Amino acid sequence: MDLFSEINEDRWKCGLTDGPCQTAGLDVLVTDPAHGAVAQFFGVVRNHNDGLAAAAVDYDVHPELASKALAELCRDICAKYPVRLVIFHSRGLVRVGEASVVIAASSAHRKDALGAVSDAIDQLKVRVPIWKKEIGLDDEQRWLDGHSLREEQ
Amino acid sequence: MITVSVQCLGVFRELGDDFDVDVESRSVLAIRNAVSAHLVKLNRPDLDRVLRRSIFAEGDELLKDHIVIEGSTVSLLPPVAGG
Repeated sequence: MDLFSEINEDRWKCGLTDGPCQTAGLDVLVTDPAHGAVAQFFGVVRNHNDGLAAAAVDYDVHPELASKALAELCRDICAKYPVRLVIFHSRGLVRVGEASVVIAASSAHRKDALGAVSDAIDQLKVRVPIWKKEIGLDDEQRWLDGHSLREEQ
Repeated sequence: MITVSVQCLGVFRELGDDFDVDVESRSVLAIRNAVSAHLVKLNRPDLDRVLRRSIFAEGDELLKDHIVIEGSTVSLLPPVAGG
């Protein structure tokens, strides 16, 4: 993966990459001999949205703010769950079938790993300064609405 | 008057990578009002509606409306939609 931003701490790692995220080998990044569960989530660009056909999504990112928000998200998740965690998100063009976000968590037992991954993707969608421009089959482009950070203040 | 450069992100990129507004003070509220007037002048009421749900940032700090910025550049962040 071509990471242009990466932050590592003892129990977590996060980063931003140009183009699609690599899904293979993600579990290795959260391997821990004391952990018996690994959960993964891949967010993949689908070929339709709101009844319209889609070919790709172009992700816009504020690098400094997104890196900071991803790191804060990892800290919060690791404070809530005893897990090892990794989160990567794409910038730029991601085509149908390719992953735009990948998350993996490991824990001693499955409940924490599953909970961490579920919370992480839910929170990422409303906290991290990233925007989607959907590209249709005929190259028609539209920005998708999202969650206001202003409401968080 | 002070000129503040506004960096566009997300749907605001339809206006280009950035634009300048003239403001009477460096408060975020003054910048918000100037951006709103700019959008009205451009006949973009759709973006003015998005502006109401948007937030400004300076560097890696999100700014509340009462904040006064130190520099002369802010980022304009529409509602986020990662994942």
